[in-house]
Amino acid sequence: MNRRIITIIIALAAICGGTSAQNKQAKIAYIAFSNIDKYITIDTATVRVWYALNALDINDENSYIDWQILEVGSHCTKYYSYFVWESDSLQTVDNRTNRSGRFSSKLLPRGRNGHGNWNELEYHVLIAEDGKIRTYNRERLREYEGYYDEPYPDQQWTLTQDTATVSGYHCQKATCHFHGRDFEAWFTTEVPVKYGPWKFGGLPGLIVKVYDTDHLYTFECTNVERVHRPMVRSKYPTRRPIKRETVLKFERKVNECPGRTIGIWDMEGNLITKTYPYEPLELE
Amino acid sequence: MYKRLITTILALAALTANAQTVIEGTVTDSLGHGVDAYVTVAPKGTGYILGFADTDAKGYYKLSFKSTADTLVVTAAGLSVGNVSRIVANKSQRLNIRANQRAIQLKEVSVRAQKIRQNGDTLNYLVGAYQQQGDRVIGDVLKRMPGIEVSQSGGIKYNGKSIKKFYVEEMDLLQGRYGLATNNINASDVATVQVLENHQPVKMLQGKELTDDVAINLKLKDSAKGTVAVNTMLGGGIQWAGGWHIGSRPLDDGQIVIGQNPLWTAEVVGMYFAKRRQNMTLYKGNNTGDDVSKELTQHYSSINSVSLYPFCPTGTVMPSGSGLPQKRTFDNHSHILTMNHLEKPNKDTELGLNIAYYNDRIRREGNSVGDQFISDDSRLLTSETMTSETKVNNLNVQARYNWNAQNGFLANVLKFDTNWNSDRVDGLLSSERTGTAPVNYGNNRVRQHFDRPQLSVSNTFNTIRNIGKNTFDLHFSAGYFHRPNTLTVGIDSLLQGTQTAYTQDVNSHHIAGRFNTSYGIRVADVFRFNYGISASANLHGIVTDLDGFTPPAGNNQLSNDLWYNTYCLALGQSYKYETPDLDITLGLPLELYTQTLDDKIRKNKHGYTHLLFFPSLSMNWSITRDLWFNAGASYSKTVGDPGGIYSGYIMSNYRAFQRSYVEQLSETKNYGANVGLRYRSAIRALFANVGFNYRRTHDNQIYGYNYVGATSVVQAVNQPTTASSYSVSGEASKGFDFLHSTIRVFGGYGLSESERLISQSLYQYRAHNIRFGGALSFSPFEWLGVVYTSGFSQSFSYTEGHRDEAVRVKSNTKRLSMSVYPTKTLTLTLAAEDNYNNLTAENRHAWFGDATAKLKLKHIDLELQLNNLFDQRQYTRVNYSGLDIYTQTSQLRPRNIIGTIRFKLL
Repeated sequence: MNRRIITIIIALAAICGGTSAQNKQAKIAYIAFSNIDKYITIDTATVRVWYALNALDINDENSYIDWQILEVGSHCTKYYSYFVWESDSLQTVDNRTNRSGRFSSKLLPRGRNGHGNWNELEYHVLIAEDGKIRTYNRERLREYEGYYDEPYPDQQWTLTQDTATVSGYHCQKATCHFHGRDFEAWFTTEVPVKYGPWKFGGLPGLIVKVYDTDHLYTFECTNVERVHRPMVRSKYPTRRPIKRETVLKFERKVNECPGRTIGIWDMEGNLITKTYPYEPLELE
Repeated sequence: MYKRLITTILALAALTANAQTVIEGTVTDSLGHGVDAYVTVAPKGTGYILGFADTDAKGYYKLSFKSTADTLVVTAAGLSVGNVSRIVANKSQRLNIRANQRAIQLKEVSVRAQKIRQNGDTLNYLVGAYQQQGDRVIGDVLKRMPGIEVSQSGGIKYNGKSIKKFYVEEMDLLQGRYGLATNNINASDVATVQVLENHQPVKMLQGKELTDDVAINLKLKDSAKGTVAVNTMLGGGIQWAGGWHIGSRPLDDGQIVIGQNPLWTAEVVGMYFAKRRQNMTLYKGNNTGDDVSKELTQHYSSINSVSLYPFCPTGTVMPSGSGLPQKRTFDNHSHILTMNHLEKPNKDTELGLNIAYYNDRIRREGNSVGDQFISDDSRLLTSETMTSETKVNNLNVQARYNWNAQNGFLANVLKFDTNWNSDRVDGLLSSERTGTAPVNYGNNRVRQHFDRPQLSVSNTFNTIRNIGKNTFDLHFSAGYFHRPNTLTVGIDSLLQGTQTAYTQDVNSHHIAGRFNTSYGIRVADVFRFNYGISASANLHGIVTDLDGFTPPAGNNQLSNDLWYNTYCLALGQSYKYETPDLDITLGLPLELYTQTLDDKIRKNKHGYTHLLFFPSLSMNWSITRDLWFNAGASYSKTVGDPGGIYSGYIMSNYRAFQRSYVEQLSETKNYGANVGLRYRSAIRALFANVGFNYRRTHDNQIYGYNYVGATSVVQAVNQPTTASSYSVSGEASKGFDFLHSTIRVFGGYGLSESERLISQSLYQYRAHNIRFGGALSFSPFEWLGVVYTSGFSQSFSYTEGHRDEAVRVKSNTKRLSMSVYPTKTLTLTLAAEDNYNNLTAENRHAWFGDATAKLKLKHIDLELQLNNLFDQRQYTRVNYSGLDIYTQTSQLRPRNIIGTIRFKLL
């Protein structure tokens, strides 16, 4: 019910020309599912950390744009969307049993933005190893899918003396400028791993919460678990290297004007050229 | 792994003047090898880090920072070493840290208390999140889980639906007797309770044939798997009254107190759960009123066996239940012994053996007042004071073979049941007729003895195969049931000084067989057509003989000797449209139904053949991921039943004599419709359902009542009658993280319309019933748990035009239970209960109080129960049945104290 009211408010705000924060972060577009049957094991995860992306209510996962998982292994870390993984696994099973051969919108990823709302942060899988982080991006157009590498960790952190309890941990604040935005992060020494959500890492302890100073994107830890499970990644047999700049450019275009970028026509055959405001996480 | 050195300095004005400190060294393990870690430095006594550095491949690190602090804390940290700290002076120095490699304890957190996690059709309830101190077995915790309801009988419902399977580690060891699991498996041995929605137990039909059945699976902790556990409990106690006697009491020992001293209770429970073998063997016994036989209740049958129902309409009049928990009224000597074993030679095959034996002597004391409708201006009042003793000996054996693979299914179940039970009742009956012509029928001393042994054996075979996209199902079941029963009654009329004795013999056999096969065809992925042929035969041999009864003039037949057989050949056809969100099923079975009656006394042979049609339509629509709508409608017609074909009188009980045969068979048409809405959200821990039911039956016969004194003589009469009922009910439960609370509300309303024929006058009547209530459990403090439940019901019925005179029976039950945890090992529970009804002359509020103290020590658990604190000795309950009101007063077990000790033998 609450979700519905929020959706109505957002819709009304959009109609009135208002630009709400949520609208700048995601657009509606369906991305084909990825079969989870074909994978390789790359490490064994021993710690698993769950992060909410832009939670309205931290106790309700359906109020998140996404729910994401950091897996920490002996020499790798993996960061991916739980909602997308859940949807991919449901669709894989549905495909395998092929009960009806029909597509059900119930199998699309969950999340506040509704089924199938697109956000590049949801559809990317990040694997860090040997001082670099590799982003496998999944896009609305297959030709823009590939992988690109960046150094990891890549933030120049400044420690502050601010401390606070965040998600049940004693945390200290650190700040950085990264990919064109200023970020504030809260890390804890109580979990002795140097990683965090998305491309963040390099602080002396787990990053429990991190957000940009405009508060457009907030990653907040919801669970920390000790696990012992294989860390796997898809085989990505057709993936080729792609430039990060190319991906960012395509993502900006597809978010700002999906109709023109991927070719969506209305009932009368006219190309939809409506544009939307977009505030990417990475400005540069 | 390439390591980069990152050193960050705080740009604080106060610190800028200070010189830079450099601390460098190595972090190594006990063998001197470099460790993958990072090193932080913090001023001692503060919570913040000044700087940090990674170690390189050799374990070398270098920290440079500025600080005015005198003393610093240097910490080496990493997943393999945890946190190793050294306190050093604030000066440049070399500091080598040796850290032992170990698996560190991580502080795990969950901001979102994910008490319930949903994974497709599976809901995972974390047992630890719902378990409270004092909860011993998994059944205690199940009651707290939102959406799961455990009834007094031990049956489990999930969101209003009875569960169809209960697994422990995905194996159905107990074959429906899941009370054994919920009452004996320790809560601390279970990791999660899984609710499996849309559960299809046959592997090869998974994803092919949708079901909306619900199952429960207990996932055990690793520590509970593969080990033999034997738990023992011994206990004893005393009660405030009832005398001392070892062994069971004679029926007439002159005492009316329930129970006797000394009280004793004992149990031994052995369990073994492994991947390929499971076993659960236990003994339980007591005389404390604890009905351990409830654990043997079979809540579902693993295979659809032929139903066996030998005809026997005879029974005793006994003190009926008080409606209170059995513990308060039960005077027992119970023993149960059961062995359940399952072998899994490979991943698809299961062999199972289940043996259960139940022995009991149950004594009841009570008074029953009947206020029966005879006509609009006259009623029959009866009062019976009775003491009864029931001896129970039940043995049930089931052997099972199951092959459940992706490419096929085969099951065979052999069942054997035997009971040798008997009832003895001593009572005093007084009766009178009130109204325009009042008559007092005086007092009668009544002795009843009913010997009711029975024996049954059945075998069921089922196989399912895939033929291309289609499935073939073959099912065969056959069984035999025998009941040679005798009821003897002696009545001394104290008013007339006469003696009467009745003897009713009933020797009843039932042989039944059923064969059915079905073939499912899949069309265009969304349609599934099922066609089947089934054949069944039911042979009832009935020999009865009544002695001592003088029937009304004209019908003097007092015995029956007949075979009543039915044969049915049916063509089943169902048409199903199914998508993941919607399925609609139309059932159109046709039956050729033949009955033969061979009455050897009347030398009368009859055969009847009917073509019957049972259309039904049902729909399930999943509106969203969490919301479902269902609707259905059906029509059926039944012709004849063994209860309607005997022409000689049979004593139903000492006050009712019945003959049912009229020149034609009974015909009943049934119409039904239902709609319902169900909601469940694991995230919100919110579960709700609401439903509406309509039922209408049309009979070509009605039973006509005539009263001779307090005795009713009942005969079937050829006169059509119609009855209908409407009911609406709903319930909802929600779990909150706030105060660990769970709230549950329920409500319902029912209306039924029916007819009764008494002394050739037909009365139409309506009965209303309304009930609602709720339960709330919460923990305001860590040391306190509170559960409050309340329920209200009202019922009344009246004949046409007499609504205003109708007597309304209202009852209300409130129960408050508080558990206090003064220490981690001690649990004190206090419960108070008020049972109210508006019709009892005195004692309308019956208050009960109970207290329990549980102490958990390292190797033993001690428990002390103080029951019936207010020492209530009697309880009166009023209930409606049609137009009649019955008031039952039961004797209760007096205040008693029981101490138990529980320990692990293995």
